[in-house]
Parts: sequence; structure tokens; C-alpha cells
Amino acid sequence: MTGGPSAIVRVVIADDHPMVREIVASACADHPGLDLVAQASTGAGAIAICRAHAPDVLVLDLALPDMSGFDVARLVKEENPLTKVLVLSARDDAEAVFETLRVQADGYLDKTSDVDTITAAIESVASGNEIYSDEHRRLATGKLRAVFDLARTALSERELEALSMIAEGLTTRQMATRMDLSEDSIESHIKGLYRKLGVRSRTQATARARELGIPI
Amino acid sequence: MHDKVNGSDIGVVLVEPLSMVRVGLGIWLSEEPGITVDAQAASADEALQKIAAMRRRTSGVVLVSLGLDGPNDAYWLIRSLRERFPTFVVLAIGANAEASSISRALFVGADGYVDKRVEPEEFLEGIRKAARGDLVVIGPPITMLGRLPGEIDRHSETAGVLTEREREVLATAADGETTKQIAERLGVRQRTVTTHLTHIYSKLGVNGRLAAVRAASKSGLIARVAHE
Repeated sequence: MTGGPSAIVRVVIADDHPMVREIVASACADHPGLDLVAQASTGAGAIAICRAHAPDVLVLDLALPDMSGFDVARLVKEENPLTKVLVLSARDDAEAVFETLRVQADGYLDKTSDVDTITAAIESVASGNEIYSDEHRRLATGKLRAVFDLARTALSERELEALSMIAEGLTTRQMATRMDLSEDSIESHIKGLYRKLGVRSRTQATARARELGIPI
Repeated sequence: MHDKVNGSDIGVVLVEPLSMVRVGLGIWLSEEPGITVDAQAASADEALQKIAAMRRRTSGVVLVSLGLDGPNDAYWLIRSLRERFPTFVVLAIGANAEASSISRALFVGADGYVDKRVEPEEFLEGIRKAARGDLVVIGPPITMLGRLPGEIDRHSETAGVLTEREREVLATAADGETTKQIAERLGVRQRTVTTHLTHIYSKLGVNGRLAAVRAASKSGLIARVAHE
């Protein structure tokens, strides 16, 4: 926010749902301190608008039709470090919250939030606060732990691939085909990864993969 | 005063080289109901000795100051604690630590980071949450959590490196010594040598001594073996 405390907060909304854009538009219209500068319904549109207008706050839907909301957030943050990004999401899982933090978004709001909540959140992030609930923090630190546990296993790319396939339920032969390696080679990777994980069977390896948050 | 160690009491071990900070933090924590200061140490070695000597308690929260430096620094201690005393929760404590430091602490096994500059109640809440099993990062803004994974690649490289001791063991093994001879040469127990070798194999991703020596001398972790 440039200027003194009474400066207007310039807002951009990027969401492919007209209803959500309407809610944010009326929030800004009803509030003298907020000014809706532009609306976008795609990620590309959001990026272009932010480039052109350098808003104070970008209210961003994570589920845009043309690109990942995370990529939009990351790009906008890179190009406009002063722009605060307030993410709107229908997801409440650890992965979504964590990825939102990875792209350094300033806040995370549920899509079904009412006008007053959204208004207050826009003002709050504009003043430099972060909008994440205790539950979000709890989800994020849980995910962070899994990220570090995985890093500590020091699994190689190949071993990670193999583990992911084991968790998927593929046989050694199927894995050999997928990875374009001999079955012996696969067995060797599997042995190595069992040792690093401290497991003895595919079942145990699969369970461990889940704990480590490995995408299957 | 320590007689009534009831079940819900959190035992804290404080490792801080700055005397006044250690003394002050120790006194304040001791006065907090529900917290008992089991031991204080000014160095990593002292901390390990005292924890090893603790009989009454086999778990608790160890606060490790990132200010510990030297060959046995904070990260060395955190890693050692995780290996030797896995039932203890380990928290790195610092003053406005960088993302890379916090990330490294977590990577070597810390259960969290608490900044010394937060309000006392926040500090205590951090200890309590960690004691319950949560990973905590208290002090930095929540967006710091998102920056920590990005720092990991840097630490992975150093994770493959062997410790002083491990290098000694492996270098001695490279001379063709048996476990017994290595133990005698280094003045430790045979079981210690076996443990070191297990860690070495794991770090280098190999199965046996010969492979370990080859891998280590190839990447310069030990001096090149003459007859290779």
C-alpha cells in the first residue's frame, strides 16, 4: 500500500466463476478503502493485468481453467514483489496449503467465505498481515515434516520413481518396461531403496511412501 | 524441587554457549509450572554427556542453540541426538535465523525451530507443541515454512559426507584391518566400529567394506587407496 493509512487499496480479482468475481466486486464497491481495478477469468489474464496495473492485492482462485493458480501466484510475486496475493480455494488439504506457502502467497481463504470475511482479509493482507488459520499452520507443518523425512532418505531419482511405482502396485516386470531397464536392474534399485527406507517388503515400502507423502 | 516428576512434566535440556542467556533461560524455564530443567550445557559434548547420564528421564525436549559452533556445532549435535537419543524432541533455537539455517536444522533432524525473540508465552507454547509431537517453526512468519524446502538441495550434498570419526574408521579399514584391529587402533570398542561402518555403508549406499572404501576414495572422502 503506497501513501498513508488512508490510501486506497487497489484490488484485482482473478476467478473463472462470475459469482465470485461479483462478490469481490461488491465488497470493493461497498468499502471506500477498496478499489477494484480489474477482473480476470484466466491465469494469463491475471498475470497480464498485474503486470499492467501492479495492484496492492490480487485475490486469486487456485482452480483457473488455463493454468495452475500456484504458477500465477509465483509469477505475480516475482514480477510484483509488493503485490499481496490472497488465494481463494475450495481445497483444504495439506498439499494445497503447503504449495500456497511455497509460492509465498500472503493468505489462504475458503472460496465459500462471505463478503465481510473477504473484505477484512483484503484489508489485512494489504497492511502486511498473513491470513492463514491455525489449522492451515498445522497442515503445513505436518507436510513440512514429510518433506524433510523424504529428503533425509536420500533416495535417488530412480529410487523415487521405483518407490512410486511400487506404491502404485506395479510388478517388477511392469516397472522394468516403464523405466526401460532390465528386471535385474529394477531389483537392484528396489534393494537399495528398501535399505534406505529401512523396510523389507513392498507392503512396508508402500506404507512408507504414503507417510512420506510421495505422489502415487 | 525435582522430586515430583509427574507424568505431564516436560523435561528440558538447555544447550546454549552464551552463559548469560543459558543462565537466564534456565532460571525462567525452571519457574514455569509443567516444565523441569533436567540439564544445562554450554557445548555439544557436555550436552551428550549429561543426557547419557540422565537416569530419571529418557525423553524430553532438548533446546539446541544455533550459536553452538566449532567442529561439534549445533547441526552436529542435532544429528547426534537424533541418532543416539531418538526419544528426545530436539528444537533448534536462534535469533532471527535465516531460512537456510532453519532448513539445515530440520534436515539434520530437528523437530522444529523457536526464535529467542518471541514473547515468553509463545516460546513456551512452542516447547509444549513440540513435546506433543508437532513440528514447530515459531517466530518467523508462516510464509517461512514455504521457503524451507527450497534450501534442502544444499544440505543433501553435505549429508553424503562422512564425519571425522567415520572417515578415520574407513581409512583404517582401507588398510585391510579387521574390526578388532580398527577398534584397537582407534581406542574404541568393536561394537562402536561396527556401528560406524553401518552408518558409512548407509551414507555411501553400499553393502560392504570394499565397496565403501572404493566409493569413498573415488569421491575424495578418504585419501586415495594406493593399490586401487
